[in-house]
Amino acid sequence: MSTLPFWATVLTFGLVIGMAALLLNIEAGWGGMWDLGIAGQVAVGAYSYALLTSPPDAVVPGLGLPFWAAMVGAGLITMIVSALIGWPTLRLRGEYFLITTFAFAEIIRQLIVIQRGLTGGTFGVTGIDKPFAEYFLPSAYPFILLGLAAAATVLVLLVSQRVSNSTYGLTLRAARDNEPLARSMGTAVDRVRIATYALVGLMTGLLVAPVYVWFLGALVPASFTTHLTFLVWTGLVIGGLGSRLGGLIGAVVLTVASEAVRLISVDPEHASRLAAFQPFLVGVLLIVLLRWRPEGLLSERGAFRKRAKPLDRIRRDDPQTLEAVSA
Amino acid sequence: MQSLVFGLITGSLLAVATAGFALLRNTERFLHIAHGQFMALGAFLAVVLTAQWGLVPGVLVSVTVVAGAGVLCGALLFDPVKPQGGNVLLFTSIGLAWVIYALLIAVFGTEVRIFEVSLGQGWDLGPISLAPGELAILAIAALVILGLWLLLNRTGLGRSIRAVASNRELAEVRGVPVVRVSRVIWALSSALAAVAGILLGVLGTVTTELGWSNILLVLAAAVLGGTGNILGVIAASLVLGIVMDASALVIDTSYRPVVAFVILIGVLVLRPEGLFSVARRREVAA
Amino acid sequence: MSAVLEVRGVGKTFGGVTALADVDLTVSTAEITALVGPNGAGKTTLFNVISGFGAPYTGEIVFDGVRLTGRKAHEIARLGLVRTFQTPVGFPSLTVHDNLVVAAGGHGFDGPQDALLRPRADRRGLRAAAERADQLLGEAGIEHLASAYMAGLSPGDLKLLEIVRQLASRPRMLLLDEPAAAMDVNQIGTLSRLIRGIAAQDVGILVIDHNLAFVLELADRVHVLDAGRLLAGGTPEEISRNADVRRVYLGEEAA
Repeated sequence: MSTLPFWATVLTFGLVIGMAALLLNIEAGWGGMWDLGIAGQVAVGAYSYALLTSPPDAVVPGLGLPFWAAMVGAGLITMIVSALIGWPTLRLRGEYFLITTFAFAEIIRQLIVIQRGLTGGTFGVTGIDKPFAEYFLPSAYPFILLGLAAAATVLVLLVSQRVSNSTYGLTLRAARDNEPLARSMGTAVDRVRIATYALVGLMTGLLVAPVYVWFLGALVPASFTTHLTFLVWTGLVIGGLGSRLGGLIGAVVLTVASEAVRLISVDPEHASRLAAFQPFLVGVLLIVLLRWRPEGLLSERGAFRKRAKPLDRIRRDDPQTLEAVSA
Repeated sequence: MQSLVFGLITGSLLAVATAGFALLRNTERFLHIAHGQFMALGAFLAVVLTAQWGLVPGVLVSVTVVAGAGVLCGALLFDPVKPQGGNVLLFTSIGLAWVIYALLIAVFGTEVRIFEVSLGQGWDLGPISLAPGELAILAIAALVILGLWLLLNRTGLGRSIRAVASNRELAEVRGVPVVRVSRVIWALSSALAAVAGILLGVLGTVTTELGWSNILLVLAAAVLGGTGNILGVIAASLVLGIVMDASALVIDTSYRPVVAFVILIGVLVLRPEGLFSVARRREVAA
Repeated sequence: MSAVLEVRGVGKTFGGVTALADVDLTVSTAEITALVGPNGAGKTTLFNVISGFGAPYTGEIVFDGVRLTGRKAHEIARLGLVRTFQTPVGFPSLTVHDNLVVAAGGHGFDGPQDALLRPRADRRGLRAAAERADQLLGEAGIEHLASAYMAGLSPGDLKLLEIVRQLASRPRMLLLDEPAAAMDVNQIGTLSRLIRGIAAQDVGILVIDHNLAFVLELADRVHVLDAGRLLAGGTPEEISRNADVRRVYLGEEAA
């Protein structure tokens, strides 16, 4: 077995987690909404994509749309579901928000298991429509997929950068720091948060979930457990909560490190030890980093180090001058 | 009627697990996600040890080992990050949950295990049927809860625990040995998790997913029960258990957990002012 | 000079305990109105009620001809009625400059739509807010703090910034919650000059404080609140002569 396609696939998965971590950073790092429901959002996007592309006569029938239309559709559906979930839950604070998002993700996963007719249940959805697959040899396709994942990552990165440099991003961080004060400055904090949740949903359904689906090749509920949520969180914590690129770097490092062990050949007797390595690594990294480097590899302060504005641009003729203070 | 009995059993096991979770939540002020993995750890140890040493010694040793592991984790992993607040404690607990989960898979493998005990032939009591083993499980759960209640309300140690729960700083000033009390709480909480895990295992099967599949129910019961009295947690657990099993009469049994989480979310949304959030918002706004 | 804020017969109870009862109060622009009273008199409760953090209440509050009853805090702020907080922490993990930018951006900062769909307009808005922030820092003589993090400032600087920041949005009226708390005599002098300067720009000002000496020196009109009720109102001279005020507020039982 050549290892190059293997690494391309691992890197693709790393970018999927990295994109999710960049989006989680907008929501949790800058917005202070500590969301444990990521797997639920990805699941909604993934199943939406699969069902929109799946042909009407398949085992799990769908609409048979082309992949790009299904991506848009999955984005819109995930956005709406996120907004509907966000509307009641974002009024909750701290641990109550955390628990509620956690519970929503679990409800979504259980519903996928239960609604066999729609989702294929635990048997899953196979025969995923992968874009451009017909033009390439199966042995070359991992590299095409990596290219698609990289393009999607660039888009997510652009959105994340735009947010970080915008009035909206600044307001989000302000409302995280001191909610009553933000309100007293005219910020509709609840609306900003729901819009953020919807934005994360849109991007998840549009980009993260479809790439994840292409990477998986077939959908089963087991791909959307809390494990996925915590993988994203650990990537973000490693990279640095609140930094601009930390989530992406942390997620890629984490997935590459934990998938690398698959290259070790073991006899089947010890296969379970190998399966245990990834959760073990995730857990140890979380504990160690929170203890000794809670700000992660990159930090929020580093990300927003002030490009200090020159003061000579001040107009001294403003009517509201506070001459009294200069004394 | 039968589903009421099942619900009572489910609820009382949930109550044992949640009581331990709530002890930590109320005193150390964080959500101990790894609590579910302590349940699984207890169940796995007990499956192996009871097969070798017999039922009672096996269970006792397992519970003791898990309690000791809890104390160690509390002292070595959680105490050092306590100054960083509840969210860091929470994510440390999530990290610990993954480590324990990985170790369980590595040591015990992923195949399903069962306890070598029989629940016995079901007795027909009018409209319901109950096996002696089920009755024993119910009795053990009730005894454990009663014991915990007596400990908390009728002993000096219990008074110290409640003092730490209501105001840690004040308790420290009044001379309560907070560190020692904290160790005892970790031991108690972990032991309760082990007992709940073992009882769940005896009733059903033991798998490495036992922890993850139960932690959300524990969270739900703890939140519904509130942070005040241990009785609130017990009542919430019983209600959740009974409603989950009774819902099987109306809709498919596979919706059991969904029903529990929908109740949780419903209650949270209707009563969004959780105790912590009110206190914090007032503080900032005042 | 004209009436900008009118509080008419406002009452509020917390679980059966009366916090405010039948409070009437008028604040005009270009003069400084103060509300004094001992701790627990209901001053902060009245502030919360006015600024939309304390609904529901009875009675009526009118700002600039607009009824405030039922409006949310951010809507009231957008009308130009802006408050400060007793604990002047600001936005701790942002720089001083960014703290002012958030305030100067005001209600333009609403959601991701503008940031993503109209990036050019968004950048322009951010630049304008940044210039306003620079200007205010310059005028307050604290340019050197621009890139410092809020979390690292001294209590005196924090107190000053609590007011300077809220000026960034060009309010019609300021509610100042204990601005002089924890300040020394020199700082209080600077603060008084700052507040008078703001009032001179035709901005309405309502100050609450329990420091009677500071308030009598600063304000044009003083109201005294005790146990949720207005005890007296008038010029500083009238208040300092008022026997009720001396007895209840200063505790001069035998006077």
